[in-house]
Amino acid sequence: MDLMPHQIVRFLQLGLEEVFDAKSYWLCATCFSCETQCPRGLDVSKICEALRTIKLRNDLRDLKIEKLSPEMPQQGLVSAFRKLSPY
Amino acid sequence: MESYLYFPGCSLRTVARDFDDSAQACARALGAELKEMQGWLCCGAVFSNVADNIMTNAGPNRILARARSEGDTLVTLCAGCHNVLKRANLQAGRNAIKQEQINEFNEEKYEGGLSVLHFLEILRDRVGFGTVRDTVKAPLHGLPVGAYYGCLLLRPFDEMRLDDPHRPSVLEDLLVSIGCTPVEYPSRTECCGSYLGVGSPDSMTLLSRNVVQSARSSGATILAVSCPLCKYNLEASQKQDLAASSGSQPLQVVYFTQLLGLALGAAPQSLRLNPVQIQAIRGRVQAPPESVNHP
Repeated sequence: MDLMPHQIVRFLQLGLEEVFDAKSYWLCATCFSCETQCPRGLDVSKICEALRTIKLRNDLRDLKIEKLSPEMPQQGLVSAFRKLSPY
Repeated sequence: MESYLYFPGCSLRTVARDFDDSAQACARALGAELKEMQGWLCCGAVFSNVADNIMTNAGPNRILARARSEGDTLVTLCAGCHNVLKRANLQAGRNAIKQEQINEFNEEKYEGGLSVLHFLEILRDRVGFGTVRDTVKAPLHGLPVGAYYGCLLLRPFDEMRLDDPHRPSVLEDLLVSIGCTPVEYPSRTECCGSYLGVGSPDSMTLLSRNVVQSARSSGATILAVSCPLCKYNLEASQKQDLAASSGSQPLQVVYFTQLLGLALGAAPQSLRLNPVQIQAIRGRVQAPPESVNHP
């Protein structure tokens, strides 16, 4: 993670578009752990999804899969494509 | 016999047959039935947090509409499906305009009226853990099990409301009722890496390894899960680690329904437990404690 969740929020508060160059929001697994613990009640999963969505809708960045086990549940594939690829 | 309308989902009919079959065996042993709903389809696996794209909710709403035509309660097992269907169900009651758009697109009307419950909620709130304890035939005395909740069963809390998001106990309470000695370890509600395993397996491995190490160092010899993707990730991360260091045994990952089924007297094969898992369980079950005369 190059930017921690609180840093992502600070970049956004300051309107710094460099935040889009960060890798962190692509590594968010939408586990809702941040929002459960955030003393300010911020929904970090939603913020990361918003950043990804803006990027995906403009850049058509796509999910790269190098190798996949046949045991990977469909659930994993469908989730990954829904969260990390444009559609 | 109590019959519950049931949504299996795609993983339970393919790579996670063990979860499906063991849950059905548990229901039967408890005098109930999980009745598969008609015409189910993929739930979409994740609930979208993007408010301006309602298409991702078309699938779950089709499922809810079809389930509603058969009953008023829908039972799920996979934590992912449960999260999606429960949240889609709540959203249907909150936003009438969006719901009308979804219904028009689907040409199938869902207007609420369904309760989406996880099988754990059925066991806790309808059957009762007391009844489970009284039905147990082969208690798993002293088995040190680490209950793994992960994310989607508990969070987001204001919508899921299954248990305390910081200190949940529903899995441990169930494990106690079948004789196990649950091990509380720090990472039991942390993320396994979820779908990151598809595109960035190294990130998934880091997260899953943390969960496995946390459980192992607290004394767990088995992990009990409720999600096929958690199970896959926890196993995959260990395969990688064990290949690097020879000698140590992997922590076995099973569904909570496989342990429950075993305690309720179902044959291990019918629960799709493999020989290594059976050995890991049987090898650690102790003789029953000295019976104490209760008044």
